[in-house]
Amino acid sequence: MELIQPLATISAGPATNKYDARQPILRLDNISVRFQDTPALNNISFELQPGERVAVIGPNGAGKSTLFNAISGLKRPTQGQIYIHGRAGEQVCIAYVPQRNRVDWQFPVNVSDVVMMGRVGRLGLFRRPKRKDRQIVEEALALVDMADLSKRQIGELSGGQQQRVFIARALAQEAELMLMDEPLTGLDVKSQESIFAILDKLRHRQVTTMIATHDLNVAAERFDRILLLNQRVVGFGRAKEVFTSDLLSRTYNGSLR
Amino acid sequence: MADILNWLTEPLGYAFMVRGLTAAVIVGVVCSVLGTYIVLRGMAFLGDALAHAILPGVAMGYLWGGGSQFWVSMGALVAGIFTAFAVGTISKSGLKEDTAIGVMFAGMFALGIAMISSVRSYTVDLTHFLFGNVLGVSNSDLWLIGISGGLVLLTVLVFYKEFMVMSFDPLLATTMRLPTTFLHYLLLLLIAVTIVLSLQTVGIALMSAMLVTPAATAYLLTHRLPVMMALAATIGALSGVLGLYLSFYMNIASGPAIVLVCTTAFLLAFIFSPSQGVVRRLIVNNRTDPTC
Repeated sequence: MELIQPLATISAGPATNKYDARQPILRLDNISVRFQDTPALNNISFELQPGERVAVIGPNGAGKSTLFNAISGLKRPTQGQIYIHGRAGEQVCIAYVPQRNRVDWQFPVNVSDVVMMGRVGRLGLFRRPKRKDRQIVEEALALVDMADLSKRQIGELSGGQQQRVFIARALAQEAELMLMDEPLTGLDVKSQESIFAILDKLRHRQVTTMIATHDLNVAAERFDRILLLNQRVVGFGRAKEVFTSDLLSRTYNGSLR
Repeated sequence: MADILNWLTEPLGYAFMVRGLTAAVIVGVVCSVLGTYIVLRGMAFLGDALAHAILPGVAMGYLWGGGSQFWVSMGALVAGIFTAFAVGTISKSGLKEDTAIGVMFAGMFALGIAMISSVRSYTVDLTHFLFGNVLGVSNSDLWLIGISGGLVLLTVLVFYKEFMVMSFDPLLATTMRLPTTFLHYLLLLLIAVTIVLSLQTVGIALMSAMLVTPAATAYLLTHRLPVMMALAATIGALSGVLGLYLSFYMNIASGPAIVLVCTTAFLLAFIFSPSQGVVRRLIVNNRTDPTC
């Protein structure tokens, strides 16, 4: 169908339909974030290539959520600059998949309502969803294998299904970079597998994913690169490069054995 | 049969009843539609506080405009908007929002009572504002209610999808670059206008019932936002009509009569709702838990 190819091209922001493909999709240049006087992130710099899947590993309070908030534009960095496709301040093509416990599952919306919310930013004020938007929603639901449950109230879904709905919403946003805050927490192995199957499909569309997780084994097996975070970048690279006892103990302040 | 017909038509012979019923239906619909967002966003306390905080504006408009409803409404609107902004400003200092609301709520309400108490007909006026007087609605009041109510409904319709996203997932609203601050204050403005237009029908003290109860009832009956709005509006309008009939035949004050009908509808839904009612939960629990 039409939607499947152009995801990476439609959505590079209003004025930049053609972006420079040689640029990394995301580049953080010396980002620091402080809350009042408490530093949360210090001098973070790294780059992601289109289609990469990166795990963000770090103890509680390491600043994983703050990092995601800064990248998606929810929290303004105290210092530094974030570049999307080499341009500063264009975060439209970023989707945030929230932690499951941050969502009101009793809200009176069904699965396709939630995915359609991903279209609202593209629609703009005063416009109602058109056939094209409904088509995009249907395709996104089909891709995450939730088309059959599109009329279900979201509270009636299992944890894995709920996660898939929010991935579909990110797809409907035509996101090129998807940030997921601990999507695997509390999911059984089967549900985790189905999430990874979907992430593999996203990779074919050049969708870059950054996923916060606590599971080192999953990170080592299923991700291209791993970002070790503890208020600053402790390590960034392939599992065999960064999963050394030295780097891990620095990530977890020496508390991991 | 003829008796029932007679029972229904008799009040319609009085012009004040027709005007009162019209006002009650408009207020029921507008309060309930907007109330849907209040219930979903957990703003019930703010709604109640705004209703009380308009009192000094009401008093000033009343004293200054010689009792004209237009000036009372304008004063109330100004006080409502002021309170909404004050709550926003105070909660930026780091205090929790409900604390900021509590401070403003009591302060403004006290100011209103203080102002009214300086006038001779103190208790009469205060009762009037606190509990409303829907049967005293004039034709020009009705125009004011109708036009402002229409504007509120139109705005809700225009910003429907933005309000929905903002209520369900504020993070998504921010990442999609929706004008969240504007939408937040727009919603507060709509609530303030709705409170002002409902002032004569239910009064300050019972306002939060109209803003919350029909929407809460509808919440128990459906899983879709548009259906919830339509159901809430229907419940609000019917409660207005039924409440006024009760008031007419049983000689109960009109505001409380309307609110009591709303509350009864809520209790019925709470007990008998096919998806979320107490009765169903009892049946389901017994079925799935045979060991106990």
